[in-house]
Formats: sequence, C-alpha cells, structure tokens
Amino acid sequence: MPIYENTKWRVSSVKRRRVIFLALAATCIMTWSLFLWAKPNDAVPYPAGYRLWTHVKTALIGPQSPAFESFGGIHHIYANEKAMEGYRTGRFPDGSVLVFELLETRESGGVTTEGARRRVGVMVKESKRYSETGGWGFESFQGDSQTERRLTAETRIACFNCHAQQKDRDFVFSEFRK
Amino acid sequence: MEIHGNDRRLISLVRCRRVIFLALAATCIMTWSLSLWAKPENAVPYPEGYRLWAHVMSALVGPQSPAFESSGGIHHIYANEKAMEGYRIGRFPDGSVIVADFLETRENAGVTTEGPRRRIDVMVKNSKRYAETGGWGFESFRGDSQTDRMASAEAATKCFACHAKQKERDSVFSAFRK
Repeated sequence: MPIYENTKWRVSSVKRRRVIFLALAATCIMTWSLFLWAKPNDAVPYPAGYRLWTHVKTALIGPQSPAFESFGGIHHIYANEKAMEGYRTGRFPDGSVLVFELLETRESGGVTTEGARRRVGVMVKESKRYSETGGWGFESFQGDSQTERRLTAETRIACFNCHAQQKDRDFVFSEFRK
Repeated sequence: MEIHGNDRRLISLVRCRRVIFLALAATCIMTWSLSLWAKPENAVPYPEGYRLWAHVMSALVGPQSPAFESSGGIHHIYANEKAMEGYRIGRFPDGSVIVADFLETRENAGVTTEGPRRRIDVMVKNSKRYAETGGWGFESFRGDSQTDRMASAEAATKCFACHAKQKERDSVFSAFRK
C-alpha cells in the first residue's frame, strides 16, 4: 500500500511539472513574439535624451544651396559618449549614436534663430546587425515625433550610398568642432 | 660640564626649530601672495571643458543686424549641470556657468559653416562674490585664448547693464531649446 501511494504521488508530480513547463514555454513564446512585434529587429530606436548629448557642430543650409529643399534650415549634430570616442579614434564602437537635428529658421532684423524641428536623423552603430551598411543603421523621425519613421528600405540605402564616400572615416561626414 | 653640554644641545635644537618655522612661514606667505596675484578674487575662471556641456540654443547674427560688428557670426550657448537646473526652475544656483561661443562663419554655395572662434562670453553665478551684478560674474576670452580677458573691470557696465533687463529670469536671456 505505501508503495502504491508513492507511485500515485509520483505520477501527479510528473503531471504538475509538465503543466508548469508548458505554461513557462507559452509565456516565453508570447513574450518573444510581443517583443518582436513591438520592436522589429533592425529598427533604429529613437535617440531619447539626445538634446543633452555633446554638440558636435552646426551648419546652415540656405535657399541658394541645391540641398535646400531636403536639408534647408539650421542643423546640429549631437553624439553620445561612445560616438565621441569614435570622433577621437576614427573608429566608432558599437553603441555609437549620431543625431542630425534639422530645424526651421526664423529671421528678424538680421538675426537668424531656431524654429520648429523638421526632423531627427539618426545613425546607430551595430556592426553585426547592420553589417550590410557599413555597420550603421539609419533612420529619420518626422518633426518632434518619436514614432513617425520617414525612411523606407530604398531611402535607407540612399543614406548609406552617400555615406559610403566616407568609408575611410567610418562612414561619418562630421568632425567634432573643438 | 656634562650639564653644560646638554644645555648647548638644547639651545641649538630650539634654534633649529625656529629656522624651520620661519622657513615654513615664509613659504606659506609667498604661496598665498602668488595665488592672489595669479587669480584676483573676483576673476571669472576660464570654463574648462565647456564644449562637452549641454547645448542650450544657437543663433546667427548677420550683417543687417546692429549687433553685427560686435557679435556677428554664429553663436552657441552652453550650460553646465547647475545652469541646466537654472533653466528648468528659473533660478540659477551658485556654481552655474553659462558660455556663449562666438564663431566666424564661412559661406559657400548657400551653405554657412562654422569658422574660427571670435570669443567666448562667460557668466558665473556666485551670489555673494558678485552681489552687485545680480549674483553673476561676467568675462570674455578672446579667440581660443584662456587668458586674454576682454571684459574684466568693465564687466559691470558692459555686460550687466544689458542683462539686468532680464531680472525676472535671473539676468539670463537664453532659454533651453527642447
């Protein structure tokens, strides 16, 4: 009798383990698919807090420039700490983020000031994830939006094709103004 | 005779101590006066490392502006962490430092870029030391120099006279562009 009871107990324990295992597996699969849904694997994240990063340089593109339509206004480049290391050493480590912030301009009495944000261009270095585009992921966010992405697969390649000229400088155009 | 020898030793020990004491005192006085000479008490120090501080805002002063001769070109405002607190709460704590970086501009095919540094203007908050000028000390450093001071004694009239208009904003003109 005691042996029989022991077997019954053992069977129920095996069943219980199986249920727990299945529940855990289901949870894992759900979490994983939710994660995939929320953040496509290659998507460049919005560079939260970049306004407090280091200001690299600034330029102003006026109506006389052929780039005016797409890049007209004042733009600032910002870099996170890893990207600052990249400017120093010439090689940008994984995790480097560069932001190209484009603003409209206002003019009054000969003074040009900053207006509304046109867009935020982002370059993120992840050598494995973006190995086909020099290790850099490209994205552009509309105005002040952190979710409205402007780039398509085609325009993303256009970003890289132009940055490819700068291969010797790890695909980066800007330099830190001291 | 033995007592006499002992006395002599004691006297020479006292003399030796006196010489050491005098030498130490002289060194102290010299160091102190050198430090006074090198850094007058109210002098605003050069804002070491400000290029890595937060970028507050930028503007471009063109030839049509009456300020062109003194401040023409592109200028950026940078703030240390304490000054960033000041922009948030409206009162700048002691230790706040704000820098205006004035650069020449270069123009080529409709694109305006940054040229050499004209000067930097510095505001340092120390409510006791600069009680007579709203708690702010003012200075300008010429070009890339950390020692060529342009304002010094005239700071009160040159700088504060104008900044005093902004009394309700703790004598600060700029606002952090988000």
